[in-house]
Amino acid sequence: MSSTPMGGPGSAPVAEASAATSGTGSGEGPILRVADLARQYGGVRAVDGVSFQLQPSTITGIIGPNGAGKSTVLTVVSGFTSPTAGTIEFLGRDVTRLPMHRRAQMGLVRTFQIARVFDGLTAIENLMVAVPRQRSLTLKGLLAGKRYWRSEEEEILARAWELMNTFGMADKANEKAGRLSGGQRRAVEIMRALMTRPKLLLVDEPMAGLNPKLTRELEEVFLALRRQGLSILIIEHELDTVERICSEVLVMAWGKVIARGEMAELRTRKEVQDAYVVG
Amino acid sequence: MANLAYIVVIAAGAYTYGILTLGPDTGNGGFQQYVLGYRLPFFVAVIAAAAVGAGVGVLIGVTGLKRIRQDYQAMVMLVISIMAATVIGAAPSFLGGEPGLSLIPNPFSNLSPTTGAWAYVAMVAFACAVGYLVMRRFTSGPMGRALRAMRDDEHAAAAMGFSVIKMRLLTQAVGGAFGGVSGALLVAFIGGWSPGAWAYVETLALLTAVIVGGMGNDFGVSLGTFVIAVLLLQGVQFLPQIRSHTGLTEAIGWMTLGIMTIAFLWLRPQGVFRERRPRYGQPAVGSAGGGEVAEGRS
Repeated sequence: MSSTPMGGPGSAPVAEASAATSGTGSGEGPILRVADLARQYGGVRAVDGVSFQLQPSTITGIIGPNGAGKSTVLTVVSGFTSPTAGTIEFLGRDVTRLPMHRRAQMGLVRTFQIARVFDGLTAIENLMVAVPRQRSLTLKGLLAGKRYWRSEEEEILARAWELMNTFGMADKANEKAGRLSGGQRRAVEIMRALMTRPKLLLVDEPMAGLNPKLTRELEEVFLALRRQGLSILIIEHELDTVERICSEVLVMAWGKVIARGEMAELRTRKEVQDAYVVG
Repeated sequence: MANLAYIVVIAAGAYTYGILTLGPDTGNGGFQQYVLGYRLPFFVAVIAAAAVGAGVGVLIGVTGLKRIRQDYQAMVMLVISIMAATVIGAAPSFLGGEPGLSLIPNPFSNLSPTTGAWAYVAMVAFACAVGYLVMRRFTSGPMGRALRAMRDDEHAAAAMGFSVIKMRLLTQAVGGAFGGVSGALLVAFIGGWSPGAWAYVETLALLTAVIVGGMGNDFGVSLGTFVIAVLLLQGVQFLPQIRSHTGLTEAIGWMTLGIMTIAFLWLRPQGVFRERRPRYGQPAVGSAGGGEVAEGRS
């Protein structure tokens, strides 16, 4: 990632980027309800009866030692993998059997633990391609050509540049994503997710590989997005980050949620300390 | 995903054109057997070949929907290609079996051989130009961007809301239609078609054309096709034959093709013309939607 700031607290660019989200649109109820979720791989129960709810406009963290089942929860909730048991409700609708792309179309969008960008596209194209239901991708758009989708394309481009500026990556916009550094790829992946106007963003270790300065900047971006109505479920090993941005934290170990609450309070809980030491 | 069964859709188009223009198989002394046997006009048969090619393309695409690694999918495609030729060759009453179909009518057969040949060349050149323009609709602009995204990482594309299955089948249908038309145009010119004409090595020739020209670059692929399929594989026919080694000149063509494939994969895997992407300029401050400014290509 470049040394250009991603946008400080309450900065105008962050506020603009926040407009890329579409809010929860879920009324008063929880945006996500997970009940008795289980995922088994052969004889291993990677996730074993996990239940939780996410409220709109919140950032919820999942922490735990390696192998606790955190990423599996995210993988199952996003639809990348089917659960062995349990149900997932998003915006009040049962999405347990919906494929990943249908969930994404509803606003349930994920990023990956190892950033997955479209290597053959430039950074800004990675963002532009993510906008759902583009007119240019319809049969009419193919037949009618640019006249039919030019104005929409210009709007998409403007939004993509907004995010590029916010994340301090304007100078990398026209570079192929395959040539970007790890941190830059991660930023592109997060921006790409934001281009879809998500209602709930699932992010898996977004701070991994970032230096402390960039970590704080990304935290500010997440907080600004939350203020604009986006809900975020974040898996993170950096506990200070979790404490700063998450209103609620789930602690996982051995495939189960063993504790939940605020990070400051969880630090003092013996079962949490044991899980990290033993797990 | 490398479609190593592409020759099958070309064959589907060729057979479709054949059985829709040859007339009943009782004609010409009944020396060949095949189904249908209509005598439809040239353009109707070509359109039918496109439709059948699209359908076969989709069927082949369905096999790739299983979540398996792309290299394994490529192997499945290759096996489909070999199986299809074997099955058609083993069923003589379906599409002529191993001897295949012959005496397939040429639309310019009423002209003198030379005039007819050049008329055909002109028609095919026109078809190529139209095909290129149609293909550009798919490969450039936002649609091309979406297809490239899917090619780079299907899971990430699905995570953004793309229906990978839909996109993949659409690609197979469009590619199949193109293959069907090319098969029809080819068979109408050469007049015959049999399983030997679409062995898997033909697929490798197409693959080499893409590798040499440059994957993801329409112009490069067109150039690669011209160099490999026309200049190399057809060009060797004009080399002097060596009486003591019949077929050696043709073998030289295939050997050259293999060497070119290996050489390009080693020395220039991006092909002669590498894939290029448009550069976008930042919209001026205060502009309504921000203009798409293609400053160049990266």
